[in-house]
Amino acid sequence: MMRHILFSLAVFLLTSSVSAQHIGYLIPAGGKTGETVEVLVGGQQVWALKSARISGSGVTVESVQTVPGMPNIWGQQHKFVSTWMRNIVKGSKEVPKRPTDEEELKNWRKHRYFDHIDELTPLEFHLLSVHMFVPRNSLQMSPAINSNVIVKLKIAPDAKPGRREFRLVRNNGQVSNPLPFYVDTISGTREPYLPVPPNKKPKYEFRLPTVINGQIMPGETDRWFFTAKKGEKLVFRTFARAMVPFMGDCVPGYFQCILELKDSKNNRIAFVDDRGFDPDPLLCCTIPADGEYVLEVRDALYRGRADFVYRIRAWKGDPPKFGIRKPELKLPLMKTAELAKDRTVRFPVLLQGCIAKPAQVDKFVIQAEKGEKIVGEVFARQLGSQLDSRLTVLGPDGKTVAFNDDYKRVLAGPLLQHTDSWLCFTAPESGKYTFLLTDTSSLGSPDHAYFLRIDHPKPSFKLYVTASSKAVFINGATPLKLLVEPQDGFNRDIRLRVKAPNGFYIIGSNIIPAGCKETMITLSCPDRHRVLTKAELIAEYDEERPCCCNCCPCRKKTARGPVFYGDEDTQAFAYTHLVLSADWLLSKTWQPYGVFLLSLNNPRQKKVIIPAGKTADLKLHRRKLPPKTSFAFSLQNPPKGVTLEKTIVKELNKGEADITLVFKAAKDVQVRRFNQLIRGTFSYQTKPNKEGKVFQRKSEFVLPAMLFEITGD
Amino acid sequence: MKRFLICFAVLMILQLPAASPFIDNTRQEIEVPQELACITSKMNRIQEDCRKHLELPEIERASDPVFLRRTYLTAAGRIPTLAETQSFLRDKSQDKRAKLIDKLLASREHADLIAMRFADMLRVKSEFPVNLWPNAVQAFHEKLRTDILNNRPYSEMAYEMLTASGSNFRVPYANFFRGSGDRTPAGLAKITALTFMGLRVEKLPEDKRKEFEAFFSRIRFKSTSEWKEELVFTAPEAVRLKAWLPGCGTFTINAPDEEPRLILAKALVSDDNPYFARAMVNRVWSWFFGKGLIDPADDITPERGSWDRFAAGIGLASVPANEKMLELLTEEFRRSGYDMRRLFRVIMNSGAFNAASVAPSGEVTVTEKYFLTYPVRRLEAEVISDSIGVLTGNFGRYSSVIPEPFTFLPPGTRAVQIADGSISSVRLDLFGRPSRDSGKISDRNNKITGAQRLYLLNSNTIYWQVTNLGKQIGRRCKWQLERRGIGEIYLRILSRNPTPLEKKWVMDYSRSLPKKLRGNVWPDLCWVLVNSKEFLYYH
Repeated sequence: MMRHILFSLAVFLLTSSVSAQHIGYLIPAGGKTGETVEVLVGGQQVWALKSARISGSGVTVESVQTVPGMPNIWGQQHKFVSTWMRNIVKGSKEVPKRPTDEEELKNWRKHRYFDHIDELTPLEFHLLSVHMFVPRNSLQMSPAINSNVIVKLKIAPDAKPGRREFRLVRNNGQVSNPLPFYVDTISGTREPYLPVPPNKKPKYEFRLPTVINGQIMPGETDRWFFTAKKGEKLVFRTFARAMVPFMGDCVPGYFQCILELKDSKNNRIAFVDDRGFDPDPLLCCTIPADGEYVLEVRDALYRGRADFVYRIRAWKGDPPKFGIRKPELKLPLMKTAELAKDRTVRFPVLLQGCIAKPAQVDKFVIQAEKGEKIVGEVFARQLGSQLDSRLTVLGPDGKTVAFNDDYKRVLAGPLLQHTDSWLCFTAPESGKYTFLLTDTSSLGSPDHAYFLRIDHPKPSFKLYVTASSKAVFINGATPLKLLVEPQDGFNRDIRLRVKAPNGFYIIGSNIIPAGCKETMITLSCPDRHRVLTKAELIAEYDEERPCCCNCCPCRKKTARGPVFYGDEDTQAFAYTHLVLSADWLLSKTWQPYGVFLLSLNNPRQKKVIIPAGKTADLKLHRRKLPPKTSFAFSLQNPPKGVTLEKTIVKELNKGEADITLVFKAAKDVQVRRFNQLIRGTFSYQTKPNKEGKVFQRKSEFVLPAMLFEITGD
Repeated sequence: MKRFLICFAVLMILQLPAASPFIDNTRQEIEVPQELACITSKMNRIQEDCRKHLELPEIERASDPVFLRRTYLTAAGRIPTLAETQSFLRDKSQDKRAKLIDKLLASREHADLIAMRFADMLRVKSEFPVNLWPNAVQAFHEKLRTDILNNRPYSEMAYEMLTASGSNFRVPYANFFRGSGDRTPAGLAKITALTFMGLRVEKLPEDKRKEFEAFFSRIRFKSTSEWKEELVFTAPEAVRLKAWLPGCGTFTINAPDEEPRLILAKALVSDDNPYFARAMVNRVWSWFFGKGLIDPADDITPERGSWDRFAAGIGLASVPANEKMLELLTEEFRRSGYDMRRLFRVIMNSGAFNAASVAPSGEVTVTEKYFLTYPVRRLEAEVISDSIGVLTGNFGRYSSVIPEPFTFLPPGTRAVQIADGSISSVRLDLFGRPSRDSGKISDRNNKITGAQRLYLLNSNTIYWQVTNLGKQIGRRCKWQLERRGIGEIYLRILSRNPTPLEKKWVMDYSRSLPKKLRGNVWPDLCWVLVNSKEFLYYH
């Protein structure tokens, strides 16, 4: 119960800040080039839809149709609908007679699906079958996937195969979260639709090569039959967790697919669960004899639900190769196998190696001068390696100078084990320093490959934007959460700007103060060109580099850091992860009611300086208020010791007023800089409705983010 | 009518040995596989010497139907089906018992049953106090089952469990240490001693206990950002440890160059260790006979204070014959390279397993103590449930609300196949399925209670399932009770043919009913037999 409450809270908090429109699954999540596919989308608040958006080119949307919620029907109407469905299955066009009893007709529920069954497409007919013949409780449905949309997509013959991003687009331009959609070169097989009882499910069959698309319902095991010949090498590559990376209300937080291959006598030929740290199984086998085989697909824990969707690419031949790619670093590359016996290396260097045997420890020796700052960074798990690195540095005297097991990073992407090491140390004396790299669990195999960077610190950062799409308030302030992952001790201000057509800009503070790992900024836009816009956030900082002539201490150069876009997703009611997306999409929307009445006295103000133990003001101008309305202000998640002391309203002529927000920093507050959101609430009364009733309403908004500087006395 | 049925059940229990269908009267020679002949004859000699020493009359051998049923129950965890029973009873070859044993030990059902026994021992359970969580439970159980099916040596399995590091979801045997409710060195030492040596650390001398715990002092657990995933590893601290292992002496470990767990595992599974093989043999014996040669099978340590005396001559069993048997089997187990299937074969082909459960008058306690007769005891909860499932085709439905969305095990899943100790049913709980909290044999409750009796006598579930079974058999036999019906019901439920006396009782009962009610005899007879001690007990 507690975790349900926590999850509801989390969903509420998330949905209150981002678009409430959410898609939970697609089936089939892909199609062959040159074909038209009908995709069933399950999600929440998927209404007022205009279209769908598939990244890249070559996939066009033919139609988007929301499936209207089907009411429960019973008695005569249930009999009428089920009889009509059975007639259609039998091939009869006969429409059963409707009752003439007026009392009965009173309760007759109207719905396109109930009244025009003969016009339904097979997919719509399937949805109606599920509604009619499957008990609701046994589906384990969740509000997050309860609503459906049917989208028809046409894939051009020349569309580039690969992974795309699918989103739904509302009439007002708002877009949903993305889910993967695959353009393939081989045709697909879809799980047969639910038959109308008493008909039983048909045999699931396929021929190689194909892409199998299916869905695991509670406790279900899908059994796919195919024939194969002795000696054939078959590969089944699954995309299950890849389709829906995180499920907030599932424990464990994603579909844990299992593949089992059996012969016609039910003997197990192969069984696979995870592939390393990737939960999506890859089954490779050589067929032992001619005959019929069955591929069983299920959840490891016999769970299931509509969003437990899978896509299995099946072909004859060799399995795909999964190597780890070299990190994009401008450093000389050296293979550890080619090192001299004394394992001495000259740094900066990028070492490529492998912990090939259990308990293997790789050793590297560098020469460092007293006071020299040195960084050691492992790239392994983040590149798909099995290595859980542990890095130790021994000084010239053999004592440990630095040690790191796991370096804490932003939880971005599908990776769940952030186990790569990073350390930085200042050489206490000149001499030889030894780097020792091993696996924390003392494991080793050819899959335990790594790259080790030994270098001087190159302070930089990675910036994560926590919404891959955002509806920005026209002339308002839209909050946006940013996460900073500093690298090599980066500790500088980051300047931000939006690079996008149609006038999107940062209102308020456009700086991430040095040392902040999580901050808020606010976006705004003018009221023109209200179209969905692909945007880019530019993050820059002043990089200090030694002058080439060494005549002056340093010179400043503007450098950029990488920016990633993603949506925050919850896993197992508890953990929050960022699901990365290729695009950052901005749309325009009207600002909350009442905000137009407020403006900053100084529109260029971005900063509030508060000496410790003292106060500072922020002045706003308020236009004439409608009757029975009021404003209230508060700070959103302020740091300890910083408060909104009071709000002073000074009435001016014609109902206008100056509002002064007085902030106070406590005496013992830490000297720091941070972006602060100021939340406003506008209370008003609605116009009387038909019955003359008036309702009290509130609209919530934020003022442009301010850079708060807490200074010493 | 009910009174008659209860009388019938009582009469069945009281059948005299002379007319007993439980004793092998054929005196036919039983052929034991050649490679086992030596060891089984040694075992039989120990039994024979013991019998003579106790001045007991000769013990009868179990009849074929009894052996068939006993073998299915102990090796497959269920009663045989009608076809399996008929096929075995028709077979007149001398080696049919050995063939049946080999067939069952190679089956997946056997792997399921032994995986369940291991899961009980290793505390494979999602929730409190073990908290392995469903994902680790399924990975751990699948690995156990696969290893047992492939007859992996027990020493290798134990070695891997003690040395496994890595993710509890991806390295299944890493769950051995992770599944300890108490993750301090003391807690880890406790489960290791209990599981692999049958020792209770709390009974060891204080100083020895502390030194034993040193092996576990560097085991660490770290979380990842996946729900409930933990990595098990050994901390790389540079320390010098003095560690002691019962039966193997003291070790000095220079960490981090030497890994204490590797040293422990090597010493533990070595042939020199007096406890490792012995504890497993004793445990396996208890799986087959309901109690160990040293009882309880997972506690061979004596009471506190007598450690030195115990260490001087380990296994101070109070029963010398059993001690000899344990020594013999332990040596055989070591020599076979810790081959569990071979150990099972040896035991099942021995005279002790083939012995009848009928003891000479007044000597039951003595003969069962020395395993001269097969100990009579109630079936375990899972075995009862699956046997009823074999009869009625209804194995029950199992689900779990621990993961979300909920787990629904597929229809037809047998109780012994349930991986998770947290998944249960009313029937399993009622018959004392173990909680898997401590890994001790005493977690399982095989006591007979009034509630169990009421459940079998009165519950709707059993009533309807048995009624349908009776009707189904009736239809199959075209309602010919005397000619076909009684025989088939007995074969299906008790795996044997009825005696003439039993046939007479049934026919008398049938004739006592008004004609229109005679159809009830079929479900009534099924109900009586399912409620009989012969069905509910190993015998």
